[in-house]
Amino acid sequence: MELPRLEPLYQKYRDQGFSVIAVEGMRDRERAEKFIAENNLTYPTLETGEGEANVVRETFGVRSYPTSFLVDGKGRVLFVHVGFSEGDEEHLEEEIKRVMEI
Amino acid sequence: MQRFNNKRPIALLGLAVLLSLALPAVAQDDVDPLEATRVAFMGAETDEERLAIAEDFLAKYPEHDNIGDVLDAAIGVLQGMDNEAGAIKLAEEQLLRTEGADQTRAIQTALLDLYADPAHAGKLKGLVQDMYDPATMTFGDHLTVLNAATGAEAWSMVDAHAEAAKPMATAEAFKAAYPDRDFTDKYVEEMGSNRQGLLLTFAGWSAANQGDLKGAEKTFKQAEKLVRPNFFGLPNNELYRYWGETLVLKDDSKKGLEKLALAGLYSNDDVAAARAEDVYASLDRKEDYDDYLWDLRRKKAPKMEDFEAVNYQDEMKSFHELKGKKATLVSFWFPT
Repeated sequence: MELPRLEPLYQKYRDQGFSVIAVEGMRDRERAEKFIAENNLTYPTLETGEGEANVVRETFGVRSYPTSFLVDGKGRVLFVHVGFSEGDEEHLEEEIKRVMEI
Repeated sequence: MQRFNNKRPIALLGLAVLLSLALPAVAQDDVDPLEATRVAFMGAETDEERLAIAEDFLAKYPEHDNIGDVLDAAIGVLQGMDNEAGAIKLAEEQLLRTEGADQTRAIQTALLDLYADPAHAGKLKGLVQDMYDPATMTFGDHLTVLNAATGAEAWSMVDAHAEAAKPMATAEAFKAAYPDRDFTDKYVEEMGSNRQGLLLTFAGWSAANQGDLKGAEKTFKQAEKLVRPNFFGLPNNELYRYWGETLVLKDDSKKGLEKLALAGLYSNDDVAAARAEDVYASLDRKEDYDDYLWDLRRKKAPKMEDFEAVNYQDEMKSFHELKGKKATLVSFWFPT
């Protein structure tokens, strides 16, 4: 599961201008809140809206979970990551460092 | 884009998720054989053990409603062991063993994927004839066959199905296929065009493989205007992969490389990503491939759109409010 593995990255780089925003795409609030609490996630967590306000499907066309966009300070999507496997967090960290130029 | 070509973890996860969802609650003393198989499969330590467990189920319960899921899991294990021939043999044997119509269709569908290889083009043709009545094929059926026939490089089959599906590549036909859905007129128009673009993508790639590179490019240009783009503005299908390959065949590797790399970066096309790396290596450039991709991303990166959604305190928050100064990872997820 991707989200818990993002927490250490968030803690490590947040003071240098890095943020994580998790958007739950299925509107399963009960399970989402339980998951967030159990995994002590501290970065912002949001729930997608209904109908046209379902930004996950309607705005970004996301159909596979997890899908992540890495956005730089200028608002450019420089990296897209679909799925999450063992060891992906290392590659993700490299991408974050490259985007942040550290 | 990361590549996820190892089919085994997907098969394991697929079995766990699909079979869990498929299972009704059962009493302790009346355990569904599927549940017993799922538990044993997930607890097995080796591929051989997993395969034996799945094969045992396939032999004992050939008419089980979830026979296709278990077969897919067994095929995934065999493919993870690089035993494609074993996977085909297993599916073909299961087809002989099973009689139910739905179960048979599930096995045939698995075989369609396995026959999507030039070595099995003959078998694919026979299977398609067994599976479909040309008079009642849906647009989705044609797409399924087009994908398999493209994998098998059966170009006459590709041409035939791209042509046969044309009458269904309209807004009216799309709407008629979903009589109970309340789509907007704009969406219906887009989906009708998208269908045309999908067919042109296959037709163009077929033309390229039959030597008509100029015609293929012309077709791809038409398709690009019709295929529904993804959020990043790129075609939501294999168009850029095939177009990129066609440009490489035309000895325009630089442009071909860019199309392939973009498909890998922003269309979730792992095959195109792998091909882009191969093409790059063939160009013998001094610059590292990762540096090339990084430059391409900076030049072509789409803009993130601001969005709003509620947090779990029911406060509306925007991307703009929450983003980091230097970088933000937006992760779309759901709890499993």
